[in-house]
Amino acid sequence: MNKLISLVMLSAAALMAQPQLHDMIKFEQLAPKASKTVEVNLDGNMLSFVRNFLSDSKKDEAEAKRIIGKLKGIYVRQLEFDKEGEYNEADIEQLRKQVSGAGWQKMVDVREKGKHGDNAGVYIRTDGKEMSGLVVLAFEPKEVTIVNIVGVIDPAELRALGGKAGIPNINIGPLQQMAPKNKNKDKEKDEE
Amino acid sequence: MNDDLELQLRAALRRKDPPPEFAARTIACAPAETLRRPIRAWMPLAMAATLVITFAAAGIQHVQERRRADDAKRQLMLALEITSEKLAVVEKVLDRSTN
Repeated sequence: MNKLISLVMLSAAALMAQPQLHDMIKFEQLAPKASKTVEVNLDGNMLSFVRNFLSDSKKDEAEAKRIIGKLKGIYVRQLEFDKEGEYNEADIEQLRKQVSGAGWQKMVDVREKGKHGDNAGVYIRTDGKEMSGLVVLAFEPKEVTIVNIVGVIDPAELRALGGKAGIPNINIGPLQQMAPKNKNKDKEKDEE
Repeated sequence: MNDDLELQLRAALRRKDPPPEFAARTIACAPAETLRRPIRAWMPLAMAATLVITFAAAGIQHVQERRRADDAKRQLMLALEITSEKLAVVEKVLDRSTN
């Protein structure tokens, strides 16, 4: 009996130690067709590892540290194809279906018709009042990009993260409407 | 019979003080090397080597962790750069489709 309990506890520990695969959008069907793949996997552990090396005393780094601290994972897949038409409508639908379940909200969904048309979507996951997930799907003729950010996301903070601790400026695009402008920054601009 | 044995045992195990010169004789019998062992020449070297190895290992570990963190930070930058770029693409496609 004791052995059985130990076995169950070990299995549970092993399961907990595994990366949370459900956080990732599955794209395997497209990967073999791509000529170039960019893959970024930053799980909670890696993000907290980055945080450990950000200073608390430097204002910018401390702010970046605080914002990153709310995130549980950032996963990016970018697939580049040699020629157009390497993926089809079914592939797009398969990816869209993954962000259409309970808790997901379609924020932007643009579908351009024709072979050269772009398709794009922004999907958010809400956990009560907070945004707890963000998925950006961009289908360009020769490129498919999937961005999956897990954790509490405030679009205004995401935008504010740009320029801090060497992080590039972030264009939050359609998320602008969810992010009220920083009044202080606007005031500074007006004074200039 | 039992009482006799007990008495004998008690007599045999009775605490007895050593003779007055016992300690001096014992010390005299012990080899001089045992009593005053000199610090061997390699001991400070070994200690220094241990210290150097410990600090070097800690240094290497720190450098490796720093490298891992830089790597993770680079990945974070790349992820945010792609996110920003693609949100801009979404905005562009959205603008195009609404105009």
